[in-house]
Amino acid sequence: MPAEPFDIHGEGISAVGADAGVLVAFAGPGDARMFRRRAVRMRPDGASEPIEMLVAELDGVRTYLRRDACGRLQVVVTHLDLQP
Amino acid sequence: MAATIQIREKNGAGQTATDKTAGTIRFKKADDAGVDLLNPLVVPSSATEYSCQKWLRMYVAGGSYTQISNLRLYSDGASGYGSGVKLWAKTAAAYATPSIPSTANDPPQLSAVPMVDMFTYTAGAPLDMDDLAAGPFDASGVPKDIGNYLVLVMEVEIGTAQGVKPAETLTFAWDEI
Repeated sequence: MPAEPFDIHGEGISAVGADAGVLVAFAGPGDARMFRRRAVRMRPDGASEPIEMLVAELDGVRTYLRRDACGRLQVVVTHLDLQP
Repeated sequence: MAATIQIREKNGAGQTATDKTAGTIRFKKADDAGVDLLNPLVVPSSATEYSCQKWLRMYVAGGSYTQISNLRLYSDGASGYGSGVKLWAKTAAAYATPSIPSTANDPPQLSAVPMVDMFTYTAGAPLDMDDLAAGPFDASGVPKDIGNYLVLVMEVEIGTAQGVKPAETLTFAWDEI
């Protein structure tokens, strides 16, 4: 998975996420925003595995989006504050 | 463009930093960042054996971002070290020179508070890494440290099999705008 798959424009309810032709626009009537959830996984072999997801959050409930191995946009899970 | 985050180990009274983002952390009886066979933990014949503390902290090295928040740490939830080897964790707001905890306390303590089994922290129940050094963290003053210090101690109990133990996985996660 690319280290930086998403390009996010704007903040809050006007945010738009784009990734190699996939465009995700997000707006909601409640407390909504779009941002990245990133992580560094320190692996046993000494390598560092970057993780990045696009998060669409509405009223505190998060939807995580990432690209699968075929490059398709994938909704990972919808859950309050679940980690990548 | 996103922030460039490093995981750094701090050593000595002056908290000399070593980038461990793409590296390993070797638990030993000395306060240094070397991944070597010097100052190894010894299987005890009585009581228990603690390593010197490992102090880690997240560090923004550069990049472009507006705000970082919601720092969390978790393991895979299952120790691969084998019987008799434990990994203890606790966060701290301020740095102190790494030391070896007293074996009078089991589990080991940090600032007179018992440390917690690292493998109880999982993706669903992670360790809060920005409650003591509170976020959100903006881009002013980069490069800079962010969030709590993470303090780790390895324990080796009586009867543990000798030898170099397999490494484990730690994951540091954060929100970034």
